[in-house]
Amino acid sequence: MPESPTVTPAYRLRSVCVDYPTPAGPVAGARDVTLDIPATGMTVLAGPSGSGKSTLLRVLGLFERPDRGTVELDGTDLARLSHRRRRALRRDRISLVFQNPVENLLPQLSVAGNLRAAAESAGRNPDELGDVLGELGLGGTGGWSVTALSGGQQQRLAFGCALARRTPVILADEPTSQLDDTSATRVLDVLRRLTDRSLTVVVTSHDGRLIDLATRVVRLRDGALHDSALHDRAGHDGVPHGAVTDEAPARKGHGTA
Amino acid sequence: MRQRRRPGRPRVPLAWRTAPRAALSSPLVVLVTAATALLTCFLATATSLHSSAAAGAAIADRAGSVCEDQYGPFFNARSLTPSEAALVADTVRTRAPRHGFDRPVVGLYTPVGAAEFGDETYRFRLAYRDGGVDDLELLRGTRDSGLWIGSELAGAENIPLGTRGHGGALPPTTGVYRDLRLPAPDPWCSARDMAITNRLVDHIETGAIVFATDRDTFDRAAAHFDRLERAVVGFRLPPPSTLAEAQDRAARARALIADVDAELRARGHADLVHGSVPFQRSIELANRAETNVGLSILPLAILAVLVGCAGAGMLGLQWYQRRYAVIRLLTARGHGPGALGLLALAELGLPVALGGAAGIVLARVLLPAYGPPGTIESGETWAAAFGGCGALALSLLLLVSVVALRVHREFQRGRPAGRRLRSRLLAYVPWELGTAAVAWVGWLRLTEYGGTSRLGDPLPQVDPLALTYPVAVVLTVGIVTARVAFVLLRLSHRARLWSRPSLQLAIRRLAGARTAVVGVLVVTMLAVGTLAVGTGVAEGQRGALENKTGMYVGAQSSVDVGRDVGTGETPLPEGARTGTSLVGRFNHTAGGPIVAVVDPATFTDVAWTRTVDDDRLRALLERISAPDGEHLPALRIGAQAEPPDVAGLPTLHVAADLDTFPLLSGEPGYVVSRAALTEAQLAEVPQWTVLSSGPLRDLTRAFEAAGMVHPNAESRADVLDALPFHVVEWTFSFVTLLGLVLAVVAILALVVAVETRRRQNALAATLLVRMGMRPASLLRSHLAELGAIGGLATVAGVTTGVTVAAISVRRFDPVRWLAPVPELPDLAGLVVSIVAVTAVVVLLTALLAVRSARTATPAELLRA
Repeated sequence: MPESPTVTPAYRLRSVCVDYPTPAGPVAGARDVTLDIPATGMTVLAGPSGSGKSTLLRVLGLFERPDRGTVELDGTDLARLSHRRRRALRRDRISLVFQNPVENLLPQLSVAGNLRAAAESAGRNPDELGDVLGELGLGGTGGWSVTALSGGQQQRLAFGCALARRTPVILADEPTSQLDDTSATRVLDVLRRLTDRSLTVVVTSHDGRLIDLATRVVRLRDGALHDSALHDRAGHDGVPHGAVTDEAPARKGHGTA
Repeated sequence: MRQRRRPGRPRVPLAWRTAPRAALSSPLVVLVTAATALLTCFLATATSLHSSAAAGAAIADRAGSVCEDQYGPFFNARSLTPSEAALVADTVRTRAPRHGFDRPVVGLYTPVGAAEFGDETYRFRLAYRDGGVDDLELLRGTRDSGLWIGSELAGAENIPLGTRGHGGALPPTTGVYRDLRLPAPDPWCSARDMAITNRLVDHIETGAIVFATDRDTFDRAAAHFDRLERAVVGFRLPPPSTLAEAQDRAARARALIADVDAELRARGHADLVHGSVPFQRSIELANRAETNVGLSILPLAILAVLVGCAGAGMLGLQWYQRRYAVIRLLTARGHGPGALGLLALAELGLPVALGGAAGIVLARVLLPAYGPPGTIESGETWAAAFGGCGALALSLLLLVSVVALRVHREFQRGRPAGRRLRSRLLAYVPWELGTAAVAWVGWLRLTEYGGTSRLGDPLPQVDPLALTYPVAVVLTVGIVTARVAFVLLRLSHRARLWSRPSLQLAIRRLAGARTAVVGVLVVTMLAVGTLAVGTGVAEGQRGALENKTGMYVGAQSSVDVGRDVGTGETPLPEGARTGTSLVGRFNHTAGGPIVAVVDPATFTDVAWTRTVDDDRLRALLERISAPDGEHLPALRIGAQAEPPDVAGLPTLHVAADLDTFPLLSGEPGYVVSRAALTEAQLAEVPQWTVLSSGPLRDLTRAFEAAGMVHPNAESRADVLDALPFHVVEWTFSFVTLLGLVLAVVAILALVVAVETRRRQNALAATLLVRMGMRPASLLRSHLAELGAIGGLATVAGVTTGVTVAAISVRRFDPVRWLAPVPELPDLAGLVVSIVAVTAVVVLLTALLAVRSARTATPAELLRA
């Protein structure tokens, strides 16, 4: 069900279908998903395992081409793009945070090296990063090897890399699922700050605390949007962010890492 | 707004800059990567070097069959006036430098004429060659200008020094030289018919040879000859050491000949001299030897190099799996397939490049150890290195391409598709039928191989397919073994051997990693098989050449001697009394076969008896040494009917049978003992030969020193053209090398297979130890697992290799008309070595597996 087109959404998905071939025949990873993802705030894709959250996130991250339907990012139809343009979009506009903390980092680099590499990858000047580590509560770890960090610290550093890249879209796949409560809470703090920065944050999760933090929750089941899938919730600051309206904050320049 | 990169900043991203350091996180991978590149480049370089060295060795082999003054252009003029001879010599002398040749050597020979020396008239030939007297042994007199007469003439007729022949018209005799005899000394090889008195014909008619010490003396002495019988112009050049050098020299020689011809034609003396390049034929043969060896090893080498390159591709795939998280992260950040391929290159490129460079250098350094004994030029070394670099580049390209392709397929195109299906399809392709077809065609070609060797064209028309037959069989058996092993491992879940837990666990481990197991099995089996077949055929050819030449000559060397020497009337010369044995022969008996008369006291010590049981032969000769009544006991050699009637000998009575006998070279015949014959009977023997266990040169020197005639000198070293044997030997020595390389690959593969399962092994072992299994049982289990792979591969490889070698070694015989047929050499040493190495490798890898399991840290166990 399309939403009111008062503000250009970051992503516009129309009748998106993704099929996976299996020995038992094709299985639908995403089934006729029509969805607009607002340009600001945190959208949480929620649902049980196998509901299609990760498939949808892969589509949003340009890792997956839908078998049917269209996906637009900032009004650009992704299906029409060449590989080079898709890579350019990944480089300039999207940051991805994976589920396993250690898989978000380059193991041979130090903590600071990872931030610099992330900035470099998006064409940013690594010398103008600012105190990203301080913001993330990782001050003083710049020279450490990433393997010396705990899982929670690694996951926060992963979001720090996304910040260093200064992309307007951050996608995260169950970022707290492999962390203990304390670490997860700190990652949630980071996510809360990201939400305040007028970025498009899309997260898949089962985590109730993360869903509570969301400005919007999209519930999926069996690859399709659930009947009551679109929940506009009050954000953590009490301002309603869910509805995509003219009042929604306009997209601004990217925050400083 | 995207910020642009500052000018002057490094353009290579940090992840790529630090990639070489990341490689160090897994030293084993670095080692395996370097070893893969090393072996690939080694083989690529060695292939080219091997065939180039074969050409060099062929050139060296052929150099012995050409006279030493015929390695360059050679001019021969017959029946010409002295002035024409001078014209020829001057023309060649002036034109030679233009074509890179130095001063020519001119030889001039008059017809045999008569002249009076002292009071007698003698027939003699006047001879001269530039520097020729340096190649004569001066017995008496000086090197002053004049004539040198042979010692026989001087001694027999007592001609004093200073004598001027022909009524004083000839220059004075200033020296007496030792007469030249056949076989001609090397410096006189091309002039043997002019400079050496032929004693097999009437040497009075052929005359004595009188040498002029210098050209002026010759011109003065030859003034009363209207025409010279022969004028030759050659060049004293070292034999060419490489094919390229020989080809270059031949090309220059042809140009010189054309130049000289043109000059003489312009002066009105067309067809005065015949120019030739005697070494040209050797060049053609060496060229063909190189082509044959090259073509024969090329399919195997290409296969091996492609396997090596595929190994580099597999390393790329393994890197992709190992660095999957990093690749996904960088892809998510917008890096493309090419960039990620280059990341693999940045991480593994250095080990590949270093390994490849080491392989190229090793191939050159170790060439004397594995290649034919030939010299190669630096250009050929560089060409081979270029081939190695090509393999290195291909490996690097595959490394990059495989990674880039996988990234493209998984992250750009959408999702990986059909990999498992394709892998299954590849497994179902009956590859063994293809290799069996190649083996079958090779066998058909092999049956037509050999026996094509002809005089003047000693090289058989080698068919590369025929030469690849043994390896194709080994390959076929290897694939079949792997397929059977794979099926058995799939069915192994039915095995219930829990009463022997170490064995049951070994089977389960094998079944769990059956793809890797089958891979290691095939490589090990191929290694063992190619080692056995390569060694078997190469050694077989070497042995065949030795035995054929030994049986043909009868010993290391032989010369014919007169009847007086054979009967003992004239003793053998001093230097030929030890290490020799006299053999008499009736070559044309009434019944056809040869009848040889041997001396039982010396024969077995001197004759080539490697193909005969020495002790049995000694006993048999003993048995036939006493007359059997009116009959003469004899050994019958080869299958034949009744003994012939031999004039002058009693009726032969067969005392025993032998297949072959030295000197008879496969011909049917009879052997009788000298001890059983009377002196009168010995005197009836028409032909006598002295066999020697020493070199021919020593034997002939002894006869020359004693002034005794010794025609038909033969040496085992040059009685047969060895090139056809060498071509097969060199080809299969490369197969042996291939086997060695594959053996290294197999050992590496086994170590890697154990190491890559380190965590699983550690976890399983920890659980097993907790369940009560003792470390000794754990070791037994790993020994059973790895021993099964090594044992099966060794048994299958050795059986196949030895069987195929035994079948094909006779087929490769290039000289089938000469006995004995090649036999499979004794491979017991090789088999024992293979078994010992396999046992050591199995033991070490089993200990490695147990050690990795017992020293695993809790963190490793948790991750597993």
